[in-house]
Amino acid sequence: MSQHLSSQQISQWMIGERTPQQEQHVRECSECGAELARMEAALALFRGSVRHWSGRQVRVPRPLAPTRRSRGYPARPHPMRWVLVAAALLVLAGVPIYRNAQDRQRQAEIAKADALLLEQVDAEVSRAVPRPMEPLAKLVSWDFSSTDGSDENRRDTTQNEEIR
Amino acid sequence: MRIAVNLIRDYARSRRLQFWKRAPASAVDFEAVGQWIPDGGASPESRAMAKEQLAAVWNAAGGLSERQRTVFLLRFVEDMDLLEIAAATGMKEGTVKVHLFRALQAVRERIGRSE
Repeated sequence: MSQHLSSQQISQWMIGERTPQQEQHVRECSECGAELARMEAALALFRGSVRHWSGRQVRVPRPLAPTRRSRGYPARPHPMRWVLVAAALLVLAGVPIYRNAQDRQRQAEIAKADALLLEQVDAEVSRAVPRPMEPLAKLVSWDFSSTDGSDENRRDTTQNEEIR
Repeated sequence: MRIAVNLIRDYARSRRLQFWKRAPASAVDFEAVGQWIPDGGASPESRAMAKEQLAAVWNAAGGLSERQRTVFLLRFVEDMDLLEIAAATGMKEGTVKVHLFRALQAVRERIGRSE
């Protein structure tokens, strides 16, 4: 094989497809040997640079565009941050209101119970006769409206009849 | 020891591949990346030539289709052989070869143009 390797044959050589004749030619031809060496050197450089660069990129990801903070501006708060702050304020403000409402409700219930108790006591106190004597009192009808002493006479008459 | 080394290699590889999947080609500054050259005590002329070659490969890789770039990276950055690439990508070995061949042709063309 006396001809130099073609461009396609060099690419095939780099893939690993080579014939014994081509191998012999490369051993003898300094031009083809130099071409292959140049190609291999370029690919070796590429390999080193890719590993170096990608390793660095993985370790320290570079931002594609300068951020507001890197340009000296104050960081813009995330929109959700304000929602969270508002929710927290609402909760904080709502707790005392809720507690006040609960206290007020409890006081109203106590007042209602007190009023009911007082009504019962008042009703008990205002009875003319104690409750156990109520049936007896119904049997006797007293009329305190007249003041001429006829009532006393009537009471005496009743007592006399009972004695008899 | 061998298992530990393989685990570390797999981790680094998967991390790099995830990075390549996330990073769109347009987000890569090829010119800036092409400036990276390892320290080797080479002459300024050879360093300048290496920079040009590196920038040309980066540019060529940026112009490849997604499949071509994936296959190219797996072969020449991750040192995977054709069968491993076929297994990783789900392509047939012949398809991997075709994509790799086209990617190499594009890279060679770009390197030749940069000279």
